[in-house]
Formats: sequence, C-alpha cells, structure tokens
Amino acid sequence: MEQKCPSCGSCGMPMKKIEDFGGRSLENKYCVHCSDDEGNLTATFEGIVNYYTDDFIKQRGLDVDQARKLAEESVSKMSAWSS
Amino acid sequence: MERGKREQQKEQTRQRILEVAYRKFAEKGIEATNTADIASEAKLSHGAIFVHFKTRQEIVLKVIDDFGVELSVHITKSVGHSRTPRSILLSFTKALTKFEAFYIELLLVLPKLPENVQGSLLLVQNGFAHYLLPAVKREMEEAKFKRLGESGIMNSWFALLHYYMTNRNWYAPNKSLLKKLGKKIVNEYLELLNINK
Ligand SMILES: [Zn+2]
Repeated sequence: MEQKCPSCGSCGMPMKKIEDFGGRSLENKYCVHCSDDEGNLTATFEGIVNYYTDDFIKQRGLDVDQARKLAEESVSKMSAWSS
Repeated sequence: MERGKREQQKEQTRQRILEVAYRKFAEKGIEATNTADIASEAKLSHGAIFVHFKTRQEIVLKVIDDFGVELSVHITKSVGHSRTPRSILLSFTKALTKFEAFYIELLLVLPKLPENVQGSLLLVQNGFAHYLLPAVKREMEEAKFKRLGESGIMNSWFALLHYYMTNRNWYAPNKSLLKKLGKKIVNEYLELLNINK
C-alpha cells in the first residue's frame, strides 16, 4: 500500500503534489516542511511531537499529558524516527 | 537474481496476507478474525503466516498503520479542492465510504488498542482538521455560523459521524451507511453550527 500513496516519513503528511515533496523531488521521502532542498531531514522528533501535541490540545481538547504521549507514540512509528 | 526473486515473492505474500486481513477485519470484525481465517482466505498454511508476522497483533497493527496512511492520502486528495464547510464534509464522507466497514470495526475496538494506534487515528483526523477549521472559521467571521472553539467544531463533527457509524445497524442495515446517510449527517452537523435567522 505504501508505494501507491507516499506520505512524509517524518511527519506523516500525505504528499500528493510535487510541491509537497522536499526539494520538489519525488525521490524525497520527506515533505517540504521536514527537509531541505537536497532532501536532507531538517525536522526534529521534538519539533514534530510538539506540533501534534499542540494541535491535539487546542483542536481536540485532549488531556495535556495524554496529548503528548499519544503524539510521541504515533510519531515514533514514522520511518525517520523508528528503530 | 534468484535471491531477488525469492525476496520479491516473500514481499508479495506478505502484502497478500495484509490485504486479506484487511478484508476479513472489515467483514467479520477485528477481534473475531483469527490467523487461521486469514491463512485459509489467503490460501496459505497456518504456519506460513508466522513466517511473515510474529503474532496476530503484529498483523492487526500493520493493517491499521497502512490503513491510516491510505485514508490520509485519500482524504487529502478528495478534500483538497473543497472550500466551503459543506463541500469539505461531503468530500470527507465520500472518501471514507470506501473504507467504511473497516473504519467502523476500528472505532469499535480502538479504546482497547495500543496508544500508538490510537495516536495514528488522531493524526489522520488532524490532517482533516486543517481543512475544516479554516472553512468553518470563515463562516463564523461572516456571522453565518455560531462562534465555537476549535475542539467544539471538530469533536461535534466526529461525535455525530462516529455515532451513526457505530450504530450503523439501526440506520442502514446491510448497506453502506455513508452512501445512504452521508448527506444527512453533514446537514445535521451544519444545522448545529448555523445561526437561525
Ligand atoms: Zn513532513
């Protein structure tokens, strides 16, 4: 399934247009927000986790500690941050 | 060469197991499907399953992971061009229709699944929030919608949608709930937000 529908290996954002890919290259595993023009990962685990934690709290009203835990758990599974 | 071919076959079998598992989970329920069901449907011996996955739970988690990615992409593709809350919500329900049976099964067992799986579904919903929230806020600015906080906007949508989905048997027995009632659910939600003139 993965090959058919690429999503950023760092933040999980679906990449549907060439502009969504870092460096506008379909070869890039990471999105434009997470990598530089050469396709090198620039995002940090902490940064992505903070981003989702804030959203879970503000947009969904989750418990503050649980929001961070769920964000950490799910971001850890992204290919850039697993293993 | 030979080795490459073997690897390729192994990968194909792995994919087949995942596809069959997805289908069985959607048809029969995630908890009610065991590895023997998956093996027989995939025309494999029961033992062959465990060459690819250590446990049943590993299959469940991988299927849900792949589903999350695919649903996310599907939603982004389908919602991406919509501007108004109505068209965004209709595109969302339409995108979800293809995955309806599995999504319902997932909702039913979600509280019992590991937190990283729960988090994955939150990530999918998070992507959607980035389309819906700005559109709803525009209507608020124009005084067409009541002023609600972000979590009120998002959670009342999912509350209503998930209520209908988990009680599908009451509303659309043996057929697609979203095909039958997708529009009605969207209308009911928008009625909640609308300021009555
Ligand atoms: Zn990214």
